Amino acid sequence: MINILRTQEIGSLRKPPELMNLWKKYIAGKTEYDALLQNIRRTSKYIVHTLEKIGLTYVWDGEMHRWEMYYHPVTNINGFELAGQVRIFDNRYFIKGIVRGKPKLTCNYYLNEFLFVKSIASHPVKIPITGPYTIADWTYNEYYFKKWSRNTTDLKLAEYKSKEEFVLDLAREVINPILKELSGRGAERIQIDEPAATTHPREMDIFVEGFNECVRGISSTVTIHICYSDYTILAPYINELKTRHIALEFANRDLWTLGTKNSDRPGYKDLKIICKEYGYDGEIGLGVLDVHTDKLEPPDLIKDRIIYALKYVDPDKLFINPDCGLRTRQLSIAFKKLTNMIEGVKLACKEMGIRF
Amino acid sequence: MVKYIIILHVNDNFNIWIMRIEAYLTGLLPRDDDTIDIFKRWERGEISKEVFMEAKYKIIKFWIDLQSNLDFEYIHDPQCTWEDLYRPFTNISGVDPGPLSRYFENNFLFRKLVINSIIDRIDNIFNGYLSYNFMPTNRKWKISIPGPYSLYKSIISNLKPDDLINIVINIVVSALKELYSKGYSLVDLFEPWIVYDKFLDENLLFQLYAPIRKLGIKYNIYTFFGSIAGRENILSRLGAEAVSIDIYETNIDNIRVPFDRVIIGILNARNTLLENFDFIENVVKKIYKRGIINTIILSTNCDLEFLPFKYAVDKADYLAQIKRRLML
Repeated sequence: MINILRTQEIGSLRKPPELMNLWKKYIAGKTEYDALLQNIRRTSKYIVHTLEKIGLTYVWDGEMHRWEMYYHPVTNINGFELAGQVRIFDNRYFIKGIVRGKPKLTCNYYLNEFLFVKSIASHPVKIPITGPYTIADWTYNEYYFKKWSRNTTDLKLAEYKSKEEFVLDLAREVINPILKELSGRGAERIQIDEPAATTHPREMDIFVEGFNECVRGISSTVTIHICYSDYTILAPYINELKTRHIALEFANRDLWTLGTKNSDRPGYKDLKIICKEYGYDGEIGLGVLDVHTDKLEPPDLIKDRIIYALKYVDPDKLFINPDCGLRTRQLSIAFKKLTNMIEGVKLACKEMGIRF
Repeated sequence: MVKYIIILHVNDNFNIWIMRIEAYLTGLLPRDDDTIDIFKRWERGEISKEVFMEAKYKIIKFWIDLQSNLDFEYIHDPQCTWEDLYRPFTNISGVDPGPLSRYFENNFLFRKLVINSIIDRIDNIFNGYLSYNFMPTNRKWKISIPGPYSLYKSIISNLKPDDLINIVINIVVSALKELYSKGYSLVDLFEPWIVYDKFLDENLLFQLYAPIRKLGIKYNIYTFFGSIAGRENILSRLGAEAVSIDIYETNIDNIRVPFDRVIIGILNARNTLLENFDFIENVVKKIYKRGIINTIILSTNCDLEFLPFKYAVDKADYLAQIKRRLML
């Protein structure tokens, strides 16, 4: 047993205004990629070094090389077209695509980013990539639905069959080749982001098969991140996923009061279902920071969340992270939250006699 | 002036259809790119209130004018400035916005409502949320709000169930009265939970609807994100003007249609794909044959907000076209 708590960021961080403006200009065709790339690399270095200074075990550059987790793949895979902005919540929107042909990989859209971040980081890196189920779920499925909905009034079945084919095409033809290349070029830890995983309970088998097709033949550690989801839907399938690490959001659904009793930590109640009822004994990435508020979690609260989780997860299998990427917060706030997270980890380690 | 359309349709098999066909929009309608940008900048404090209000009025007016031009039977309040369907209720003292939660099986998050104390006073729920000042006075107006069952299901509370039931009834009754007083003659009660819930609590449902039925205010029940199969009778006993069927969730070969007015969610507001007219005509025929229907109302299956602005406008336009073509 390692008896040590490890920490990680989940992925995205907010781009500084200057880079954000450059990205907007680039997307609008008003600036060259070289000008954008210079700024990306400068920002990327700053972020990686800051995260290392804060003390995270695994680092990434906050996804500065990508406009957004969905936009990045769909603008780099043939078969997709952009439809326009759709709301996620309140005033937050994302640009949603349409699949109008069979997806085809034209280039590994994560490779250069990976090679750059790996070259500048002194801590181990973990590259986050968007999973096939989420890409499919966040896309208007015209190509496959048209095919499956001909001559039927059972459109629910047509939707299922068209989603299944779409996800498996993405997993086999796009994501798996990307992972193979990243793995071959030295990516030791790859995180597949699947925030949409439990969106459609009856499609859980599609999600699982899609994930498992992605990791087929990959020797690197491939982890998965899921958030804002119903974990009681996920739990029965968790042992079917070919991964030993699952990073989940919990803080968003938890209280801000201190304590380590069940009633103090309602946001973490599903740990019991996952680890005890379904016997999952892999690594858990424990979300301890709510990414939707500027309010800073006090280190004592983070400590209590960790101590609660240690009832269900061994320390060597517990990773501490924010609920999700902190891109909804100002960078300065994100760094303060992460600093508190490390302080909370230290407090928990001290109290529980764990190395950090 | 109320306008009814009575059509006589002779199809390929020389069957005669006699029914009224209407069409209208429902739910939250999307903002265009400029308005999205203005709302973000307003939130960040980068623009004046004047600029913000001007943009807000522009998008509201766009949707109202479009519906007037497309000659829909009711002009639907665009509700395009709402954060989500539930947020106006946080105007009520004692109702707070809760954590972000997934809105059914969508990549859309909303805030559940948190109610932990008895609510004494409910008034002006929709303060700042309605567009009645812009609605044409020569047309009928409608709007969507959560139905009582779905509202109950979207509340986080530590109150006793009976207390919460009374609060929900009071909220919906107050909401309906307020909307009626402002000039909305029809309200779409959004009830996805009635068809989404595997275990429908019928007692609760009828308890919630009993006082609402007595108000004498007209309401539709919109069901979506689930199939009405097996729940047709229950839905027919809730006092609604019309009940909607989401044909993308309901296999119409497996249902009965015990409603004289039925809303067909014929256009999929969750896919950009424009539906084939032959398919639509086939669905309308099949549903017509499955009941004693005197009015078919063509609509989207749910809020057009699930589509980008351009596609939402195309679907609204197509809805009007479908109505015209079905009447040929």
